[in-house]
Amino acid sequence: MLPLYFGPPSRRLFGAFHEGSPGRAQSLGVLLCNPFGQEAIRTHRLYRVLAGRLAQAGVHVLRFDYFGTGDSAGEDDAADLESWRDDVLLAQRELQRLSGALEFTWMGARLGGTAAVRAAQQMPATEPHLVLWDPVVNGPAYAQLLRAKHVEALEISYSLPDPAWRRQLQAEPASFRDEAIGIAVSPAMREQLAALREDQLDVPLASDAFVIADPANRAVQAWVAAQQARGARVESVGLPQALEWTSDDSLNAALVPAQAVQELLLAIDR
Amino acid sequence: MTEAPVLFGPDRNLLGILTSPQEHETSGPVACLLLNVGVTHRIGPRRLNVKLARQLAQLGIPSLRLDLSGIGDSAAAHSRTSFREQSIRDLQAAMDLVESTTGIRRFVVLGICSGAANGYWLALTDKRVVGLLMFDGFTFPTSKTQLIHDWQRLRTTPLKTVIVKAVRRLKRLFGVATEAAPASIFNAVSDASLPTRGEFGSALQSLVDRGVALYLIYSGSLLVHHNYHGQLSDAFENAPFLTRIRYDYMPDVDHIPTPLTAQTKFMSTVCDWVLGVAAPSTDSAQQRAGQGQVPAKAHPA
Repeated sequence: MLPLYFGPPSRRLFGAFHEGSPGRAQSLGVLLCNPFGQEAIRTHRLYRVLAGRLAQAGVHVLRFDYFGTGDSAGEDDAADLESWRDDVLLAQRELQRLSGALEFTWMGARLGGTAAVRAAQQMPATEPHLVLWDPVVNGPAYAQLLRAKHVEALEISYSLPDPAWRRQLQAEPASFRDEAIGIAVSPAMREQLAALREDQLDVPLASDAFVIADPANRAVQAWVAAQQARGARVESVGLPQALEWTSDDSLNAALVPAQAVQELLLAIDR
Repeated sequence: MTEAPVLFGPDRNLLGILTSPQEHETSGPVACLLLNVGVTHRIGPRRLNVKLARQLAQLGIPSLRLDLSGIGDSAAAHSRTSFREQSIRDLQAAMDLVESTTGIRRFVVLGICSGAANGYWLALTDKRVVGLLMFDGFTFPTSKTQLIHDWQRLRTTPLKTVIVKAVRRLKRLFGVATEAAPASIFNAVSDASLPTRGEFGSALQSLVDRGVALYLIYSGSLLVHHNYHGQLSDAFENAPFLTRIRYDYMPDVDHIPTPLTAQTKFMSTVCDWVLGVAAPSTDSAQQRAGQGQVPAKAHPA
């Protein structure tokens, strides 16, 4: 694995490039797009395991942190969905440069899947194969989830939680919007989440998408059906919730659900 | 400030990010090591290690945040040593790297939870460590801790739950099997080789005698283990090291600081202390770091 920084001086992004095993080198490059905040921290190990398995099979993989996240430059509150979209495109160019690959798959979990779709809309000529794991297709619902999970995290973390937190969460819609489980949420991110709807996430007709989602996630299932109805090449497979995404739960366990890894490998290899 | 990824260690299996201040901004001949917390990779929970590294760099202090063998992006080591021994080796390799890169030979180790334990074992092993911060590290409850815990639980628990728990206790007393209580955050990261109170006291004494600046902070997440100002003094009554270390109980900061306000308080406190350790002076590192702040008597909780 090669750790590196890439991008212009004003926007240095951290990346980890896993070169495909030379004996089995393929023409495929895979870009792994992180989810948001605590979800990204929880999936770090899973992404690393996935990258390692793909590299062993000869696939070139780039993991990276968006600006304002992980080891990349920028503070938490510099991150927003539009800049994430641009970072996916920047990382794609870096992957292309490092690997010389000819075909590309972009895999994104949660808000990382959302960013991948938006990036594909910007760069249709690349025709990436998209693998989307429990993508966020409705921004307001996700923002609401972040608020609730933040308060839940506070209640678990403090020995003597303040009962006012929960009352505030329920009574004041503007409360707990600026931070989510220890990560600042920028005003731009809040506005973009508030505006994000299913109909803005059309998969380009030149691409195709494979969606792995909890069958109980009706929003994603409806979005998949809508995409298929408009003629986009979108398939889906059900994977009952493999891990609790937005949580501090199992803080000291590396969460790498075997079934999820298997499904992702199959989806990427299609 | 610059940030650079580094691969190091005998097998080049360890990955870290070296954060360096601008050359003219370097404020003293110390560097910080920022350790893993549990299995969270080097950025730390809440990205805290990244934020700390950048604040320290603004103050002229370089740092290395790294993944220990088998954690985050560092591959497992080839050796068959224990986790503790391997951690010490990894951290010594980290100091070697910083030393060869910057020339700095004095280190301040910042450890949260399991990171505090790893920092503690390193400090006892390697004299290059001149400062050690342990946030929610080893703690030793007193009888007052138990009383406060019971009172707080009683005060905040609905009557129905109190009755159910009382019945469970009675059943336990009379030998009726019940489900095991869930581990607390702190217990969950502890291992079977924790130091005893005596060992810990002796170790802290040896470190302060060596001139190591020590700062022990306990959060508001350890109700069972550490829940009042002055608990450290009560647990180690009259121990000479108490007047030569710094200690704080921060009930408004949680175990892995979640609210941004708690992060700000934690980071500014840590940075101020590190600056004190780093400040060039003829005084000892302990004096510069404002040690000797342990209250002689326990404060009310």
